[in-house]
Amino acid sequence: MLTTAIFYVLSFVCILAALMTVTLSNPVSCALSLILCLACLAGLYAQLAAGYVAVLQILIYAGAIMVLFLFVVMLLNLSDEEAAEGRYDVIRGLKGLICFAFLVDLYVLVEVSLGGRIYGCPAPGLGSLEAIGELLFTRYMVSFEVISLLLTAAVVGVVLITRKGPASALAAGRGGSS
Amino acid sequence: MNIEYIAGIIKAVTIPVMALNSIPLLVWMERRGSAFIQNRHGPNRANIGPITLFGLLHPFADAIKCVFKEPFRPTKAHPIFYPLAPALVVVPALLTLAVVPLADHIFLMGAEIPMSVAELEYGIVYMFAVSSISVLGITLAGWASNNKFSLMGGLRSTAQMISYELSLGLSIFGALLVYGSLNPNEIARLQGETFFGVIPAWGVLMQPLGFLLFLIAAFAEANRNPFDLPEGESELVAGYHTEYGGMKFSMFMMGEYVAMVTLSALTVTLFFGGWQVPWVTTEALQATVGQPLRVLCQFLAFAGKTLFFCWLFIWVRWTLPRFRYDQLMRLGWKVILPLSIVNVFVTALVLLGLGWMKGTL
Amino acid sequence: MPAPLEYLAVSCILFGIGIAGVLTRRNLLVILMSIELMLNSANLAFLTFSRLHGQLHGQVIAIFVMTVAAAEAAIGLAIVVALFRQTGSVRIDEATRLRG
Repeated sequence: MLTTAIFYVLSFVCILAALMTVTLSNPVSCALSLILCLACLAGLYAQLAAGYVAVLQILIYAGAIMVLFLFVVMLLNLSDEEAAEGRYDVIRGLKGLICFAFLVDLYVLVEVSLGGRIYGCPAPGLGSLEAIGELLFTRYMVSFEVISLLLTAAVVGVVLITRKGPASALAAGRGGSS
Repeated sequence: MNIEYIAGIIKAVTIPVMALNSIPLLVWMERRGSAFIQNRHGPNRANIGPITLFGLLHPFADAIKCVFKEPFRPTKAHPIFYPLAPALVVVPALLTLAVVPLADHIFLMGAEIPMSVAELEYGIVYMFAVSSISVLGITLAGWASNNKFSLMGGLRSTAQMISYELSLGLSIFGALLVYGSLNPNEIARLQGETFFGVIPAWGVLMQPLGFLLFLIAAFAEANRNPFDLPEGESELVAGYHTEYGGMKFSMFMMGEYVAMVTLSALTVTLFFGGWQVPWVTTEALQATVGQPLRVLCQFLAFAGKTLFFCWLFIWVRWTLPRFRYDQLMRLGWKVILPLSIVNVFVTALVLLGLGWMKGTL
Repeated sequence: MPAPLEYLAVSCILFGIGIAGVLTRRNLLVILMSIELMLNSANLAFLTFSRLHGQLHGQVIAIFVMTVAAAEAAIGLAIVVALFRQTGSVRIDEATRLRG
């Protein structure tokens, strides 16, 4: 009973915050509502017996990714920038309609494929952290290594993209401080 | 109603209250300590008649002043985010304490109750996750004040905290590999043994480099001197909290001091045996003095160690000068981060070697 | 406990909102945020199925998705900074040149 009530509160706030993310005009407000949405999602994850993923969600999203977003917004000082974005016109309304149709489509698909199914198995309880680690290093070993390679590539790529042109950077004696 | 629920509620109320009550004590320690270190008079004016209590009344005077000041918002500050920012600093700092064990489990009416608000299998990850939210508060304070000094402070602290959070996380990897657990209580329990029967097997002896790196990163993470560039008063007035006053300002201060307590508690749990009374295991202690006294002893051991590290924070603050910004970044990315990675590698290799030796023997 | 369908419905709605954000907004930063939203709705679906079948594979995939999201955000923000240096704005309809 309590779980259900918490679910409804969390998902309501989550959807509201998501709507605010895509509609508010100031990028800082967008980023903060996205943080709220992600925090509520972490709550939903915890309800689905995925506490570790929920904690990681807070650590990675709220602690790192969204801080980076805020950092970039402030660094570029974009607060008045957004005022230039046009108001809602016909084309954008049509795009919104398409999205709505897509949403209905998606929901119908889920409804048809899942129907009234309920949880068949008990939730993986205590010790699931160890089980996740074991899966990561046995069955998903290759994917794990590929992901670490991807992260390295991303770091190199970011340094390359943000560096201020090769000549000036080399002349200044430092290669792209990101 | 279940005994575990009641205990949970009691703990959830007591532990934050304890943390908040430690703030006046720490403020007093900071003032007396700074006066002592710099050879000058400390706070000695606040009094009730002839009683001054070595300056202990000053924190109360400060609290009264902050509470009764007029709440003030600059006209150009953001109406929602400006008041939200201080709360975003205090609340995560308090939430982090939820998984710190104050003593070993107690047995009460047939139930085993952990002496932390919640005992999580991945408590250490939880601590890092929640404490990383406080960066948001500082960044937001810098932006919402609509003041260039605040913005500079906010930007600096964002870059600094992201950089050092990485080192903070990586520096404890070695210790976590040694313990093989992410549960703070489990980690504290594993440090109860002794080497050669005389030296307590604390993490600092197994991971000296990891401890040093962790301590440096913790100073940077708490925005304390020598890394207090976000609020460097000689360059940025007061950094991200330039525009804050009264209770909102004191909330930033509360956040800073609670973060200090939290980081000290984490240091103690990871590297100095947590609630372990040296040379005495929980069972032996309980057999001698009984359960209530055992818990008290362990709590006092934990509190003493934590207070020592709080004092270390203060000591360093009033001894070392502030870093320059590029020095700070260089130290973080070019010294501490590579050293932590080396530490992880060496620890893993040693553990692997030990495992092989055990396997062949 | 709410039925799996309800969690998936939330996931669907979030995904739809994310797509709407990508299609209708012109600020590159907000578009990136909408993509994060879509990745997260996928995560919610993964975790729901993980709970439905009582297996941990969904959680492992969710962790992978988060890692990829972190890499994507870093690269995306680097592109935003580069674009801002080139055009002085982060609106995607300003980015019309094919070479810097």
